[in-house]
Amino acid sequence: MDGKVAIVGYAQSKHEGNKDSSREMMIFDVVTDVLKMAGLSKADVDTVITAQNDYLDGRTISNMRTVEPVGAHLKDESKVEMDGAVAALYAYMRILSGDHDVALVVGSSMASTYPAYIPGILTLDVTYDYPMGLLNEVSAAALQATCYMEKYGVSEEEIAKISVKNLRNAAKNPFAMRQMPKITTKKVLGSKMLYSPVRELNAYPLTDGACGILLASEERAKEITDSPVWIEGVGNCQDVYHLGERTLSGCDSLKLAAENAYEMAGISNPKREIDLVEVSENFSHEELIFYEALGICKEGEGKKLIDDGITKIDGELPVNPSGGALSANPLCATGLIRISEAAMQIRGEAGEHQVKDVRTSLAHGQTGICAQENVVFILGGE
Amino acid sequence: MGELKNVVEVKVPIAASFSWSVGKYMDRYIKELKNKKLFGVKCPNCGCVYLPPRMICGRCFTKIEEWVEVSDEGTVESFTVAQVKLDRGEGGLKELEEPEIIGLIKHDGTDSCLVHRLGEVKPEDVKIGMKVQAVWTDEPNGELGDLKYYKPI
Repeated sequence: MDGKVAIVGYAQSKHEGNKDSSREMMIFDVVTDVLKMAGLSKADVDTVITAQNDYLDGRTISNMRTVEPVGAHLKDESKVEMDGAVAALYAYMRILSGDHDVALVVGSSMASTYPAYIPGILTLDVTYDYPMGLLNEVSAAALQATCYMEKYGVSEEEIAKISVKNLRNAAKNPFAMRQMPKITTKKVLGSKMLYSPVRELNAYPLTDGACGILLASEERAKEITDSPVWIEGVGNCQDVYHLGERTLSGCDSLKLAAENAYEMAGISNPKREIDLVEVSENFSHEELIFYEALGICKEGEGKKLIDDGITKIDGELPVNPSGGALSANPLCATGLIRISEAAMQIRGEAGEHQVKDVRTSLAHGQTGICAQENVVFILGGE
Repeated sequence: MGELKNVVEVKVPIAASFSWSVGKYMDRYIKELKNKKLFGVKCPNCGCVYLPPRMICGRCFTKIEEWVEVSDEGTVESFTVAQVKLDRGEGGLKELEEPEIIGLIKHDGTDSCLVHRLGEVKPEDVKIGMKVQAVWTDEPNGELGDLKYYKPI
């Protein structure tokens, strides 16, 4: 590949359950912050890609109405109705095309504005799963969890440990929503059972939030900042739509996305060569499935990483020092938040949740029930 | 839905009702339920049998045209005991009076699972790998509800 592309700025909102703001101002504040960080103005941005979803916003072509707050007025602009990591991939390709030098990517949603979990069922097959009325994103995740946990002998306590790790980490992240510095496995196992084995504290919180990142071509990136974070590898893969036709005890599409990203970045041993991982674990058991799909352990051995403390913030390979999606999950922004966090860690700007000596980091975004589509970014410093 | 602390909230009820054609394959699947029969389709390339029927095999990128009658017995591939149910009006997960068991069921001779209820079994007795059989309504009408649930055998 010829051109190099870097992340030159990132910004997040303070993620909340019910933000005291309109979506336009929430987005405007994040865009203002990311431009300020990079020392750029609206005029410096060549193209804008937004990630929002109509069914989350209750209006069609929702991103059409956020042209002003994203700073896209009379500019090249395009939209993605998926996770923000897909929007970042799209922006990356636009820069590689040579037509643009600076791209702004913005993802956002406000769960406080829609009836909880209703948008998720609008993604179901209307000829069978929707009328049957049994599936939603939580019950589907529970079927995935049972399948995985039974196959590899994973206990409820082990998946509770994921929640404990991430929600404690979140207490160190000022942008996180569910910050629980004193949470214990016992408390997770005592939280309300929704669909077994998924309890309230194994599931992501309904979140309002936004995230923005700025990408730039190699030449422009070096002009903008002394610490560009380079995109070294990307991978994107889509699994079959119907849940009953997928391997739920693993995540085939993430495995393939990761393999592509590793090949591009020249990574042969991800566990050794990657210093930090940020995944979009909407449910705690998914983090274990993702460890395996990312190849940082063998199939069925995800629980060993959590049992041995390998993925703790001070472990050998920290996963989700930000608190991950279990601490805040504004749909469409979540994958971008992971990218933003992975870049922040390389620049040493993560404050209390900073991990030492991060040179190479991995960020993951997912879209669709039980992570149907997965995107992987490998980032590196100078 | 939340209420903004300091800002007026505008209610935006969207109640458009859509009528989807289920397509020829699901049409036959649903109509055969009236005869208490289950029909799937078989991919001409990989031989995978899909139930419910699919028009295209994603793996092979092939149109599927061969119908096969499928046994009403199968295996539980995964399950969850639901303590809550999604309220389709207000949204949110509301407490169920009695837990409901949702299963992923793979019928004998098929390669895909369908999502359905499990009945005549206590939640604590459900296991992955358990053999189950379809239980029908007494007077089926050719609709999805004709297959009531699956019971252990």
